[in-house]
Amino acid sequence: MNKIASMDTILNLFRLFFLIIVFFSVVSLARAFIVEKIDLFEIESKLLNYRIAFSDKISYVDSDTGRTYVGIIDLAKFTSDDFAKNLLNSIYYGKINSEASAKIVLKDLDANQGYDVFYEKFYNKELYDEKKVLVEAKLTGAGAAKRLDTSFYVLIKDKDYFRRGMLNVEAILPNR
Amino acid sequence: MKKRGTVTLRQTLIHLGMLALVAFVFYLLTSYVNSIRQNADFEMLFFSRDLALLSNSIYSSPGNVEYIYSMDNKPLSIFKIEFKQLSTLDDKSVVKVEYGGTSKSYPFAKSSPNNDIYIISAPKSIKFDKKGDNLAITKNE
Repeated sequence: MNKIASMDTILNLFRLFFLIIVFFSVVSLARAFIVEKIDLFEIESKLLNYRIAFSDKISYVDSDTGRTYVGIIDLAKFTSDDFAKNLLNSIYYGKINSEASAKIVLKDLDANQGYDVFYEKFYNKELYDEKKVLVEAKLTGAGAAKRLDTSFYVLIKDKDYFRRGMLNVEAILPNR
Repeated sequence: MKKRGTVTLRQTLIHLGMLALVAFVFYLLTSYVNSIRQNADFEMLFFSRDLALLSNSIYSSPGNVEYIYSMDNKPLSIFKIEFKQLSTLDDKSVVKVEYGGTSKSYPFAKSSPNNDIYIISAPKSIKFDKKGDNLAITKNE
């Protein structure tokens, strides 16, 4: 009699164990379909690159009409000392910007000097220098960063002269 | 000695207990799945990011822009949406979507360090109106 009772107990324990496994399987399966993260890196970095390229802090603005000519880079604005500060204020993520950074390189294709002429500027240089190391180390996960390059063929307006150029924007965004 | 084939009270109670346990577990599972169905976390996640990206896109457009944001399949009207600074110490601008005591937020970049705050409750759609560098965000019925 006691043997039968103990067999029953053992069988009930197995049934309980199996029930727990089924319960957790259903919960895990349901949780697998819940999306908790959306990866926005590609769209966000492209948006930043285009925002920099379309910015009135880089592009030529007609003083009479106030119209921004996207694709025509005003060389005087680009090479001015206030460029970085003006660009940071026009794409304003806060006093301490930990959301986005970029390197902006303007290449003069018509320089005719026997060597390439580059102008290099930064958007949020401190964050760029900090995160570039992580990008080159190819680290992944939260705290790391990713990079996206975008190039644009542009015209460079140097006083009254126009020259062909290429604008390269390299955005580095920290992973969320 | 009991006869073969007879069921004792103890065995009956054990079987009933098992049935009750199975019914309880089934109830827990269906409640859990139902809570997932009613959960608005993904919608809050989606709207906070979508509105932040839209704000960035509108700010990056040259000239004046007017845009009406609405979603036919996913209703906005259950949410409270705020475009504001994170705190007085951190002046990062965020889109905050709130529902049922929980919220999700995502940062976006303004075109100047101003402190405009827009709070929109239960909108059918949202109107973005950019003139120059200033963006006004209002409820659009």
